[in-house]
Amino acid sequence: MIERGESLWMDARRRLFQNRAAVFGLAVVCVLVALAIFTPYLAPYDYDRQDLALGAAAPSAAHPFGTDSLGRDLLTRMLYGSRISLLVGFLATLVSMGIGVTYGAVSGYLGGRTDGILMRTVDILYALPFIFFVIILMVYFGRSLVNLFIALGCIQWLTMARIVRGQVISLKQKEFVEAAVAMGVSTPSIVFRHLVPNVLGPIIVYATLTVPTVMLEEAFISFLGLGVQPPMSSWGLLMSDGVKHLELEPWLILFPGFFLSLTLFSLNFLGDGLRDALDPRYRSD
Amino acid sequence: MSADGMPLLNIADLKVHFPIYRGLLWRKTMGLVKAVDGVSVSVRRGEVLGLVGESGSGKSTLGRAVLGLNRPCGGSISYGGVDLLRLGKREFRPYRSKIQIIFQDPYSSLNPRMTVYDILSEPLRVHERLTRSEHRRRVSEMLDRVGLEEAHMNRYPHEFSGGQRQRIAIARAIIVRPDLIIADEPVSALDVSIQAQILNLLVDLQQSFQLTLIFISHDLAVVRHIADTVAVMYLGKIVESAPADRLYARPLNPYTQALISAVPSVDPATRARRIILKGQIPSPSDPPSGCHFHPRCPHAVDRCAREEPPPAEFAPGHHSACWFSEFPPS
Repeated sequence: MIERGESLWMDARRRLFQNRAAVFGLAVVCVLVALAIFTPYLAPYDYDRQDLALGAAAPSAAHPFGTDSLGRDLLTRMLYGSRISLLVGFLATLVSMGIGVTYGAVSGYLGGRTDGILMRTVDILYALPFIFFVIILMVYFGRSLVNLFIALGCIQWLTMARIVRGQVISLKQKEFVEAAVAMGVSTPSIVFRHLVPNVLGPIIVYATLTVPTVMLEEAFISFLGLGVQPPMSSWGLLMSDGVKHLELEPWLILFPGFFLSLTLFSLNFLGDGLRDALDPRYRSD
Repeated sequence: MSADGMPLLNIADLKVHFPIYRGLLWRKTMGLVKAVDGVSVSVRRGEVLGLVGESGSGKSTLGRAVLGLNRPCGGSISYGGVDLLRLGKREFRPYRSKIQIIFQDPYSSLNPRMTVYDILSEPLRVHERLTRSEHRRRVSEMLDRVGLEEAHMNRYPHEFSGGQRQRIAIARAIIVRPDLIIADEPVSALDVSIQAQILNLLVDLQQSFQLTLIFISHDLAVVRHIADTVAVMYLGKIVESAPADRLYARPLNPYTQALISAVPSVDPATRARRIILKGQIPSPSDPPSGCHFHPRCPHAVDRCAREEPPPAEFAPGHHSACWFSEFPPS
C-alpha cells in the first residue's frame, strides 16, 4: 500500500478533472468569465451606440447577433451585460451562501429556543414580498450595483438557511459530533469543522441553482428602475426586452436566453462535479 | 488489571431524568423517563468497571452523564474529589482531556470528511499546544500503538474496516493521555472474530497506560473477560455489584442469576439450569412499584411489589438490592 500525501483539495481537483461534464461546465464558465473581463477590448461597438436608421435588424455579418429596435449591436450589449449578470450571479450567491450557511448551521446545532427564534425570523422574512425587501434595502443604503448584489444576497439566503439547518439537525445526532463535544471542541469549531463540511454537497448544488435565479431577479429589479440603469445592460434586462419583440425580432430573446441557459447548465454540471469531488467517500481508488 | 485502592470516580445517588413533552404550542410535561435513578458506584484508579444491563437499563446514559453529554438532575459525580456537576463549562474543560469516550458504532463516531490525521490531532489541538512536527509524531506513535500504520494517516474513515475504525476511535480517546475511559459497548457493533482483537487491544492499553476503564456492555461474557468489578443495572438502578469473579461464581440477585444463566455454554449441565425471564424490560417512564424487577422475578412475593429493596452489602464489596439476597434460592 503506497500512500500519496494528498490533501483534500488536491484529491478533489484530480477527481473533478475526471468528470467530463464538470470539466465542460468549468470550461464554459471560464470562457464566459474571460469574455466578461475582456469585454472592452472585444466588443465590436459601444454598448450605447445607436443606429436609428438601421433599427431592429436580423443577424448579419456586421451585427452577428442582430440589433435591437434602437439599432444597438446585440453582441456588444450581451458582452457588457454578461459583466453585470455574472457579477450579480456570483457575488449575490456568495453573500447568500455566507449568511445562509452560518445562520442555518448555528440554528440547527444550537436547537431549542434559539432555533425557534431564528427560524421564525426566517419564516417572517419569507412571508415578506422579496421585492419590497430589496426596495427597502436599496432605498436605505443607496442605489448602487454593489448594494444591489448585497440586497439580492440578503433575500436569497433564506432557503439556504433552511436546507443547511435541516441537514445539521440530522447530522448532530451522529456520534462524531458527540465525540467532539465530549472532547471539548469549541462550538464554532464543531459547526465549521465538523458539520458544515458534511453539508457541502447540498450547499454547492443549491448555490449553483441560486446563480441563475439571482440573474433573473436582477432583471426584474432593473426593470423597476432600481438596478442596472439604461443604457447599461444585463442579460436579464436584454431578455425582458426581448420578450416584447418575440414575434418580429426573435433573435433579441434567443441569444440572451441561450447564454443564460448555457450558464445555468454549466454551473449545474460543475456543481454536481464539485459535490462528488469534495466527498471523500466517492474516492475512486 | 491492578487497582491501587484510591477512588478516582465516585458517583453518588445520580439521577438522570428525561421529561416527555406533549403538544405543539403549549408544551406539557407528560412524564419522566428515569433513565438513571439513584445510582451510586465508585471506580478506583486503574480499575476496570464492567457495567452490564439490557438495552434501556440506563447504562449508556450513566456513562454519558460522566462526560457531561447529558445533564443529571440530582446526585453527584466526583472525579478525584471534584464534583463535576458543579463545574461551569470553562471549569469542566480540563476534565475533557482526562475523561474520554469510545462509542459503539465506529461508522458514525468518526467524521467522514476528516482524515485519520485530522481526527487524531483534534484532541491534541484542543488540549495541548504542540508544534506541527510534534503533532505528527504523536499521531503516528498512537497509530502504531493501536496496530495501524503511519501510512494510514492521510486516509479517510470509509477506507477502513469496522475493526480498524474502532482502533482509530480508541487512538483518538487515548492520544491525550486520559485517566478515565468510558467504553460504551465498544465491540458490540463488530464482527465476533474482530471483537477479541479489539478487547485485547483495550486490555493491553489499559494496562500499559494505567487507565481506569468503565466498560459498558450487554454481553456478560465480554465483561467477564475484561472487568475487575461488575455492576448490573436494571431500569436505571444498580441491582448488584461485586468483584467480577465473585459475581459470576455466586450471583445474589435473581436478575443477575437469570442473566448469567443466559450466557451460552458448551456444558449441557449448565445449559439445563437456564432461568427464562417472563416478559420484557418495562418502560422506564412507568416503572413497576416496589422492586422494579418484581413482575419478571421468579421469586417475587407480595413485599416485592410494595417496598423497594435498598442495596445492601452481603460480602465485602458485594452489594445486591433484593429482599432475599441473604438466602439465594437454590
